[in-house]
Amino acid sequence: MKKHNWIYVSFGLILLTACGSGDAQEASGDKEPTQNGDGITVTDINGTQTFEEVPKRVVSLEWSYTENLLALGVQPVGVADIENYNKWVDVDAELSGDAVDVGLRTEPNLEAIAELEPDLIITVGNRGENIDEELKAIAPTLLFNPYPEEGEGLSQYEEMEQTFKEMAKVLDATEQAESVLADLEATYANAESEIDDLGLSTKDFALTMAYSDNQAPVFRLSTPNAMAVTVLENMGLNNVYDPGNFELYGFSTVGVEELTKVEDANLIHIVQDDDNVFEQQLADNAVWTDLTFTKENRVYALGGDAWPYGGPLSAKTLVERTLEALNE
Amino acid sequence: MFLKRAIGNPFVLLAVGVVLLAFVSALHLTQGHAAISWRELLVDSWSDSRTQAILFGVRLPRVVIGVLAGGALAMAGLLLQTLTKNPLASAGTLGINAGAYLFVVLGAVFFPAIGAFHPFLLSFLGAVFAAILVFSLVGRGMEPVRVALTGMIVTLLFGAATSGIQLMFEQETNGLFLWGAGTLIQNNWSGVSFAWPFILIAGVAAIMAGKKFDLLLLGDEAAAGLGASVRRIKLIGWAVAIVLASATVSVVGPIGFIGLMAPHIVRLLHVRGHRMQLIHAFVWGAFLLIAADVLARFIQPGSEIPVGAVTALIGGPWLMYLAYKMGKQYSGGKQTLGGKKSKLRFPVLLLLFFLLTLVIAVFSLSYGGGRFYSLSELVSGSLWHQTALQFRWPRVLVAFMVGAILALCGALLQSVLRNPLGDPSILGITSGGGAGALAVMVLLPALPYAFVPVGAVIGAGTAIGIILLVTKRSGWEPISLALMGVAVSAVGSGIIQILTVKASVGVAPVLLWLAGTTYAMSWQDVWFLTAVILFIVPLSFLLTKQLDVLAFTNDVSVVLGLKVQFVRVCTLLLAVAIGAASVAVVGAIGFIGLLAPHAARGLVGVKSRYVLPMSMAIGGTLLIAADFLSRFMLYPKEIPSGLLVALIGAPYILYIMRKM
Repeated sequence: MKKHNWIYVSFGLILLTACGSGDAQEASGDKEPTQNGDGITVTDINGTQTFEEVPKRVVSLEWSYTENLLALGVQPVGVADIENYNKWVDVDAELSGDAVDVGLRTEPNLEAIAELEPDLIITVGNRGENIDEELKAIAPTLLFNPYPEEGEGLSQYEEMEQTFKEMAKVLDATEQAESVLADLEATYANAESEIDDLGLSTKDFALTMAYSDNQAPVFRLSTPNAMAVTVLENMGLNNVYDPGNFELYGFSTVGVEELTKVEDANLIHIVQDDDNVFEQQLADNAVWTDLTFTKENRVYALGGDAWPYGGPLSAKTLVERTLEALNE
Repeated sequence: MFLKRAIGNPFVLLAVGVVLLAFVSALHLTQGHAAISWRELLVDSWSDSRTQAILFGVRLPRVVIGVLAGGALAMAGLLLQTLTKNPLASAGTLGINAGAYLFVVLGAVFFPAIGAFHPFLLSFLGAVFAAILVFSLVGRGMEPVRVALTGMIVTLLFGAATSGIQLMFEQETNGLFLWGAGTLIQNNWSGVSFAWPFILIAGVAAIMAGKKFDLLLLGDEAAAGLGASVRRIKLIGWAVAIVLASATVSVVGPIGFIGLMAPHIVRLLHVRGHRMQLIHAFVWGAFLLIAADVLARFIQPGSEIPVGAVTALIGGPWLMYLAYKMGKQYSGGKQTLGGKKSKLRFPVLLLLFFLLTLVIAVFSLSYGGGRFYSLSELVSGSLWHQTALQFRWPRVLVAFMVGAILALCGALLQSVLRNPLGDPSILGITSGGGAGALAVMVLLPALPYAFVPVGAVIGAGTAIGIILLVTKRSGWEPISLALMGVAVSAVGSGIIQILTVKASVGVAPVLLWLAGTTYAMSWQDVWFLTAVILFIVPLSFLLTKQLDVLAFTNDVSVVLGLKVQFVRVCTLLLAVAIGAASVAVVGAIGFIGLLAPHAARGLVGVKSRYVLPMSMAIGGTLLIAADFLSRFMLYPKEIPSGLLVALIGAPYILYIMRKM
């Protein structure tokens, strides 16, 4: 276990100096199989792993990977937080009723996962890191990080594609992956020509998720590195919002005043029906009603279950929803 | 001569306050996302509709709500301080803020429709609920110390419930984190139009009754002797303070320390009489809050740092200063720890708890993967099955050991502080550790997870280091230690709040860590804790005799020939080492250190020889049970066991305090 080594060492030192005896903790090195047969080699945030056989029983601990599995034609045996997945993520592939709920994404139930006897676990780096040793003891585990740092030279969109392809590789579904990605590209192309036909007054846009915070509307205004921004740009639209600083998660959290900077563009938003700040808080807000896109009726709703942090299928949903909205 | 008189004149001082308030308000109006200069504000807002919209639609409401909130909180604080005769009382320390927040979170999750249309109503109800809870638990006497402590525990209880809900409903409550730290964001006049009638009526009522509150300062008997109805005055005072505070909380969220600082400024200015003091408090409170908000947006223009966190950062050191002064005053306090012996003898009790632990452990070990294994399955080996060995055993063992050492930590701290509420969280170990851990997670996300506990240990060490250094001159006197601990904790939670907002998406692991969890424990954790126990427990038991002597007051201890300071420092260091060790393994699990020693003293009396092992037994039993429930209750979802401990522990403490 790597988890607390530092602590053990520092406590070990304290104990040593205090009483002249102490127990040294050995770091147990990773025991990755090193066979170099004909296995499949995939890369995650910890390096490469080789699989002798194609995993059949897969557990996904993050929604975007659940969605990716479905896109690749694999029904996961275990999924974290199915209820909320169905609520927030609407894609063109259904999760089978046989999938077992293994608890929340924050603390997935390890024994429940073990009982499923999976041969592959897929999770996200920033949640899975503290339990990766435990997960690896159950089954080979792949960790991915959807939020690359500024200097990594990898955009969120590229990471999404890359992870999708790695997952396809280990599941022996490369062809399926390629067809999904090709389908997505075709969707982009179609959308682009449709948008040209629409004759919009502007192709500029700003994308935001919005929610109310103590009655005040708060906007997560997407920054250029956001995956969803790339998706919309791929369909021929043009993002105008750039705060000037790098935002790891791909959005700045701002108030209504900030929208004055993007008022000439189209405002595309994702908001929950039961917390619709545009209909409730903003309806009689002087700043909001005075903004150009409000006056010119260029505010477009994608719906609450368009998931901007997902995989290719979510990207497709985003494109389709955007087209629908722009068509109205 | 004239100048001197002018400075002493409350009206002149009030004018100074108003001018300062006007200045920071003007400064406040120039801040915001849309770049608008002074000139534009002054000139264009008359003609340009855009500038006008921003000024009147967004910025002005924010300033006005800030003035109202700051003023109301300060007035409420002043009244509460008079009523409880406690210079450290305020809406925050009485649980009012926490109650309001809990109700809002509940509303957001379970009644989104109500939450969207009547958020004010919900938080108002929560605030009143908390106040009444504290009020009824404390009873008629309204003894100052008990009021503050009850308020603190109610705050902890509500806080635990709130973070539990936030963890279970991560997606729904994301937006509430900012609010949890208190923010002045307003995008229309609805907040102001809701709050001002309450604040105006309550404020005027308070000022009208000002003369009556003056009588309270004379003491209850003297006031009664002058023909005043003490009970009625107090009732009015409480009602007004609760209305002021909860109206504020329901609009801007829990903002601490304004209610603490402003009344002190008023006293420092030598303003006398409640009428004048209340008016002054309003102005200075408003000034402080607006200034803090200006500062918050100055630190990080463009994004929203919650003003409540800034007031905590400013207010913490202020509280430290007050605590320092009060510490001197309290020097040589005569507090002792109460306890009684039960009819059962110590070995019998210990055996009973051992059996209880055994039963729970068997239950816990036989539950896995959503079902209980039958006895025959257990015997035939499912207890030794790989998953059980890998996940269940270490978890159960760690839960017991952490519970035991946390209880030991609490017992040691309580003996040193001669304070029944000595606890790792009170001495800043928990919030200092939390701030340290969070700082690593949020500011250095590139570092591996292994560094998070390192940050915790550094933070906890820093917190208690500051406390010990500052209180050194008073000889680490119990009361000043406890007060300093509260102050340092406040700064720690201010830092935690700022970091939590900064973390936005990655907030769930942070919350988990802060709640404390026995999730995913490994054998290595077991060996580590075993080493800690083997080393620290015998040392602690060597100290039992000295600890019993410490339980007398200072003077007696010196006469008895004990090196008081030396024993204190040794015990404190031991306690910190224990606290940090458990923080490193399970995060911030509270309450066990508070509760177990208390229960132990109720069973075996006050002799440390008995209290220490009994505390450990109770603590271990408690956490092992909480761990089982955390796996069992919502399977396959897990509830952080720290939350369960708090939910079980807080009512117990409240019950004890009711009986005391």
